[in-house]
Amino acid sequence: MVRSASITDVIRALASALLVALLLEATGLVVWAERLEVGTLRDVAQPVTQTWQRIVTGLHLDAPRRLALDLRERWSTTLIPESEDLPGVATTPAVRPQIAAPTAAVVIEPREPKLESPADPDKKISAATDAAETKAVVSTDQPPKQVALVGDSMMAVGLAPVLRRNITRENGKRLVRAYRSGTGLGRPDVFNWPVQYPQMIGAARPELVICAIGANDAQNFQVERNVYLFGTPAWKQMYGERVRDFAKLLTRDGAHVLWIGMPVMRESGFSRRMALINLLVKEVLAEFPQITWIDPNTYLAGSGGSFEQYRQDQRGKLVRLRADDGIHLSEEGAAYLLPAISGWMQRTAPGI
Amino acid sequence: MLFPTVEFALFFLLAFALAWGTVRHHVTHKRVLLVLSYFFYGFWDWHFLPLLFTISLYGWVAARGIERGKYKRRWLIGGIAACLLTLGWYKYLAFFLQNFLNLANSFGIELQVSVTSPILPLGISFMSFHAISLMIDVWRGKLERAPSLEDVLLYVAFFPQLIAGPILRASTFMPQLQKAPDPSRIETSRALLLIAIGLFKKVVIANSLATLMVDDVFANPQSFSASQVLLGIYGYAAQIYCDFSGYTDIAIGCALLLGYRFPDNFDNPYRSASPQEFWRRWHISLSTWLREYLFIPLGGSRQGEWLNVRNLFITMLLGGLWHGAAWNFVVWGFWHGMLLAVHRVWDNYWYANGNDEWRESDQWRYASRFLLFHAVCVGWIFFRAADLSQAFTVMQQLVAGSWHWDLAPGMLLCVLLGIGMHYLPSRVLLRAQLMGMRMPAVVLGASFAISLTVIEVLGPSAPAPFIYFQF
Repeated sequence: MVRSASITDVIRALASALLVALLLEATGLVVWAERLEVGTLRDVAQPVTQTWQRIVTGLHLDAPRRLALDLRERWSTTLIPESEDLPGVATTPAVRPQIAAPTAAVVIEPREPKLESPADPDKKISAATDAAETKAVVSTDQPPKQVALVGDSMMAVGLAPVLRRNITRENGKRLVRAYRSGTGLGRPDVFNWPVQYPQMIGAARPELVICAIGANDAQNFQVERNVYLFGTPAWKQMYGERVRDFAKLLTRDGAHVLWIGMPVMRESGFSRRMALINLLVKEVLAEFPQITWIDPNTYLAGSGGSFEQYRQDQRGKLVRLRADDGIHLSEEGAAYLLPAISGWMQRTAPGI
Repeated sequence: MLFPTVEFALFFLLAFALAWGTVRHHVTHKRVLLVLSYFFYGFWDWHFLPLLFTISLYGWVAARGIERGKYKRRWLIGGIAACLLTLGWYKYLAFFLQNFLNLANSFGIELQVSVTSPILPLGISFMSFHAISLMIDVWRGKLERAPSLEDVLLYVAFFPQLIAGPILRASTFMPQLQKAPDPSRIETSRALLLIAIGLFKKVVIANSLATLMVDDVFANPQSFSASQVLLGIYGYAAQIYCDFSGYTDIAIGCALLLGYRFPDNFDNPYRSASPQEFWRRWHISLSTWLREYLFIPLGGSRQGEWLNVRNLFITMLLGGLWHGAAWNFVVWGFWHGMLLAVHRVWDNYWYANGNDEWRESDQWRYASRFLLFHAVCVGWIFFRAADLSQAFTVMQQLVAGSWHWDLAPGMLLCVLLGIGMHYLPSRVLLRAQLMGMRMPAVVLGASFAISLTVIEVLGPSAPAPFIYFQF
């Protein structure tokens, strides 16, 4: 028996669904508009969603959703507790950026950060890596030395798994995970690293920080009504300031930082953008004696600095250096950076 | 444009309005759907739109050639070869080249070849299988005549199934394009229920399991106890089911709202008591495709036991490779081929020895389900692991790790939900559907919106792409 309705009924049902969803998700829509790439759609969507949110909030129609969010937060601490007693592993609670209470002058911190640049690397990463990865993994010895892994998907994919295996293998180190895919320093409106980083590391005070970030930053951004076009002097100045602020934060407690630059990419246009970011970041970081910037192309690029996806290893075996997307590192590729990283660790903090 | 996003919701509302607005002019209606489907695909990367068109063109040209009757076989072989070569170029070239060079190197032959694999276009495996299905169905006379180019383009690109299926057989979908959908017979209640269930499976269960447990366990299994690794494996079993069947549910629901019917793709697969049954319930459209277009042409099961076993292995190995160009997928396919073959031999032995009565008992059925589920989980380790060595590390940790029952209740709940839903009586969903039908349309719509909000609130903060997008 086919249980069917007429098109009129379907239109009524969808119209009703749309209206109720608009009422219940007014705040969610503001977050969505914030996350959009700088451009016409964002320019239109932001004022519309903000006005709509003000109306809904004024009528207290957003109360059910806020109540539901509160309940979720309460339950989540019960259902996914801090597990300091796990064997060899302890996790600090994952940072969940909250949607700010909707007020007229609301500050939004998105729940689902996602940047989209013309060659957005995080569109192409697998489900296995696009996670809110903001935990601390601890080995058991006392007192643990702390090493933080910081960055976007350039850290999360390939590099972090290799570092986690190799660093936690030796006792006496606490590995603090503070990386999140789909983020960058260019769009604090999407994910505000200076605000989120202290929450990600919690009480940890890492002596060493390994950072790989920037793949999502080759895009325009907007501050108030001013749009900064990628690569222009104004953009460079603004981005440089953001890198500088973040570098200050990373080194705040005397931490030494190894900042891994962006490798050459398969797509030449994207690669040129990454080269520009490398140049700019390197220049800014030269102001910080505690920060060492390394060029991954020394280890990963082919002859003449070309993109190299496969390479013969010392045993003559052909290994894959880069993921299918031509952006991220494979684990075998990330392993090529290990000697440089461990050399830096030994030079910088021999006791760790 | 992922299904659980505002962008897709807006796109779908536009598609719904345009599709039904033009339904009285059937040709225009199909053209509108075609343009929308190409827009949907181009939203990811417009560079691959010509590829989508080209693969469809292979199907159409070959189908016309087969229909004309002269050199039918050549047209069929040529068309299939064109599809497979295109698929191979994008998906398998680097893998085969890498392994060939390594093999040559192990024999002391030093070959120097610069290898760079092309970017893998989204959904290329699904497009290719659709085009091949069209050619074979025309060859077998299952379609009265070769369809028009526009119909072929729409069949391959129709947006609800374009990226991750279900794989529609030409002989079952093409007839739907012959007449306009009926605006008085839309299964609204079923469609909205499927979309809500699909979103719940994907956003709440699959995403939570992936981001809060499974990814961690598979990234660094040595950091976890054996019990946590075991939960991680069960978690992946639940995650991949909820991820993929959730996508399918949403695809079927969206198609229903547009007046089209897709076949079911999952039927409580973890309730299966044998490998054969599992493949009748898991990714049904792929297993049907492989049976119809690969296993049967190879000779199927009518050529004696050993040839049957050989055909099973070939089919499952290629089915494994279809999922990805990596050895872990080959091993996964081999594992399932072995399960099917061993069960076949075992089955024949028990039948021959008159153990039918015992086999029909409840105890045997439950024991079989338990064993089969765990055998499938072993396969999932290879499927999920980044490579073979990681898969073995997971297994090693499972055996050698310590056992502490220190499991997060939230994750246990997700695993139980993901696997337990297989045992939900079908009448529950039917009743929910009937209840939806009896509701006034406005109440039905409001209930749907409330369920979307609940799903959004319950889901984790970080989105995760659908697993099957990579295939």
